[in-house]
Amino acid sequence: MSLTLKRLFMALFGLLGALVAWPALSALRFLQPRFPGYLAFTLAQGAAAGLAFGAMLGSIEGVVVSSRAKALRGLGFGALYGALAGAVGAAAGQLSMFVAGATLFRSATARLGPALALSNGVAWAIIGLAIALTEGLRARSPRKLAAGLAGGAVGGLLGGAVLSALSYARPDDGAALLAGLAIFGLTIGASYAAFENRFSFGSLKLLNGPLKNKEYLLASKRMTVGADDGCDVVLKGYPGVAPLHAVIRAGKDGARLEPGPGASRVAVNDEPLGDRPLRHEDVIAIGKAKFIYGYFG
Amino acid sequence: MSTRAITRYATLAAVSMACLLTAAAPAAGQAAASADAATAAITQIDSAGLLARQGVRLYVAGIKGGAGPGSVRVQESADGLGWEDRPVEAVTGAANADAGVTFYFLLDDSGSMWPDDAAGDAGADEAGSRIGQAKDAARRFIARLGPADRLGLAVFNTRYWRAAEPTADREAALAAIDEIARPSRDDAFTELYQSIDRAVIELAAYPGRKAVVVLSDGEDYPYTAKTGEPSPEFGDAAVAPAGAAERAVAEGVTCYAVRFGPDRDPDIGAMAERTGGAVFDAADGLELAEVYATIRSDLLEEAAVDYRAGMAPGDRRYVRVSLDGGASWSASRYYYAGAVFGQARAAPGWFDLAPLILAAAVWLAFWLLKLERPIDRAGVSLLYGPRGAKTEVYALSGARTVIGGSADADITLAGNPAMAADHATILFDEARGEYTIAADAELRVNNRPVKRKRLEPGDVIDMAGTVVVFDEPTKGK
Repeated sequence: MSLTLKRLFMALFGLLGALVAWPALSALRFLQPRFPGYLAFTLAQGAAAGLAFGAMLGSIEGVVVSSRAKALRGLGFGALYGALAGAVGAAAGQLSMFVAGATLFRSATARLGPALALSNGVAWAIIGLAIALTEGLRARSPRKLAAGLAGGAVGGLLGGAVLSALSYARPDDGAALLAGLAIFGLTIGASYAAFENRFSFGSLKLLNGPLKNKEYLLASKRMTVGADDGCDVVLKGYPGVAPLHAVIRAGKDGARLEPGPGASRVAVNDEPLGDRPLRHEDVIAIGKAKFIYGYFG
Repeated sequence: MSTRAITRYATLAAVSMACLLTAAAPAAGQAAASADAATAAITQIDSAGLLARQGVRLYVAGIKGGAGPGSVRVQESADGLGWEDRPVEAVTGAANADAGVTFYFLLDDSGSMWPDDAAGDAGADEAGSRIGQAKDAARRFIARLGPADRLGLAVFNTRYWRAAEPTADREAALAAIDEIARPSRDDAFTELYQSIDRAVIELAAYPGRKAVVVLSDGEDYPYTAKTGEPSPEFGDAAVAPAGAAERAVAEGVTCYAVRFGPDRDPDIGAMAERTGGAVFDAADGLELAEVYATIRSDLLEEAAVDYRAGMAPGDRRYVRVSLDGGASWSASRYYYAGAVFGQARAAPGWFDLAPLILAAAVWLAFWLLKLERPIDRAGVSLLYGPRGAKTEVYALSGARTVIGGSADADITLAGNPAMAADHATILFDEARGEYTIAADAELRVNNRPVKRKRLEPGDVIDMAGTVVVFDEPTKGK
């Protein structure tokens, strides 16, 4: 899959998160009077939203590299971490809204609309930061973490403000929440897409076999390559690839390739692995799989 | 009751308040029930405990410490129309003692407050005049302020002048009192309600318990109503006593009125009571000082009501209290109760599940779909060249495939002048199933210069800058 397609995918999956979160949040909102208090209500809503976005964002990586197991695991862990983070983030966001609202309502003559929209945006930004934090931790990538936090903050600010502004114009219209969530999800997804290659220090493009033309961005300090589903680059259907075949480490002078346990063949430009950082256009052989190292955008 | 005695109409301890009102306050002109209702006013709402404990604290003017939770009823509403009882958890006395009170003194500075200056020795006997006594009483009040209290000061006649904004700085307040000067003869009007209204607006921005203490020795005598022309200070806008009371209630400001001297405004008593305050009469400086002390102790003794909030949806949650079991209710106020994901009153329908199903279907489709298909025959594809990357795959033909820049080559890669017409040849050994590349011109495979090399899937072939990737179907299993 080309990087352009992958970027579209990321934005699309953020949108999918919104489509999953919306019905759940709509139902919970309707049940507000049945909840004993704001704490339980907010935690439930935050968990639902976090679960939806966490699951979708967490499964992107597995889906784009066509690894079903990786996608499922990302979905599961994303949902779990997302639910936890969403609950905590929603509680913090709700608290910030109450504080802002109490301050705004201190005087009955204050102009409220834009200020309330802003406070709703800030609350969502907190939720966005919480959800993006887990996705970055799950992927063990500081760069991805940074991209997510930026997207979470911006997307939250926009999405929450849109929800509040639309609700102000058309109270009780559920579409306002859908619009807010869609902007939230799209922005987080687009932020991963826009920032991921900026934060990455290189890429690997597969040149042959069933996953031919897939591009993998090197975004974390340690990227694993192998046949195991736990690897960052999963090579299924390539002969001679060990479960953990090689590791790429990012260092000060560039990325270095190291063989993993039981690796039968690791070569750079048809030569045995030397002690030098990878250069652009190096051709890397991992078993029967061949990559070109470089940066293609 | 002596005429010199300070007459308090509404703020004595809760016992037999209605009796006191009817017996001692005919001037207020209020029926007992409505006067009673007016004594309860919500002055502040503290919703800081809303998220953690679902608890809201109301500061209610008119309740004294010692009252039990049973003596107060609290109701909430999402729209100000339908009301629902909420359980009262506690009534705590002396609720304002720690946080203090912001007092705003509003002083009538009309000519009648000052000594007659016909003799031309203005200021000589200021001490004995009403203004002198009022200044003295205010100074004594400042001396007794608690450490957390704040005091502001404004004076009014035709004009309105803020002498000191609310401050904990005693010296600034005292200096502002000294600065109050005799008005010019043109400022002969008494803008009582305009000034109260403006004081309330100015006070609205301050946090905590707020009270306006207005002292006047006469009736409201507004410029616009009397002259038919716009006021030089307030313009065309008129403020009625009811309007001033309404704003004060909305802003949580309690008004205490002191009628100083024989001329009394007829509406000021009802107005003050509507805000949860009271009206006092004072004849001299001594009584005035006592009135001020009473106002302060009333405010400090005031109780707070803790109750458990409901979950009605909406940004604004209205609340009101009753001290008589629901026979009469305070004016309603609201606090912020917006939820982070907004509100909805309409029940979700089955069609609302459509986005969920759509999202699940899309996700499953992507999950099941392998976007890549393994190639079914050997070929080369352009990785990058002078014209950028292309995804097109050129299939290899038979035993011998010539790749070059000319149209006669089996695979033509045009656009690179450095490339020869027949740059390289890929040979197929059918017996072994092996592909081999050979070239006389410049050729690099996997970044190594070669003349001839057996090709593996994924080999990168660089022909003078035009780079292609060789691939073939995986053999067997």
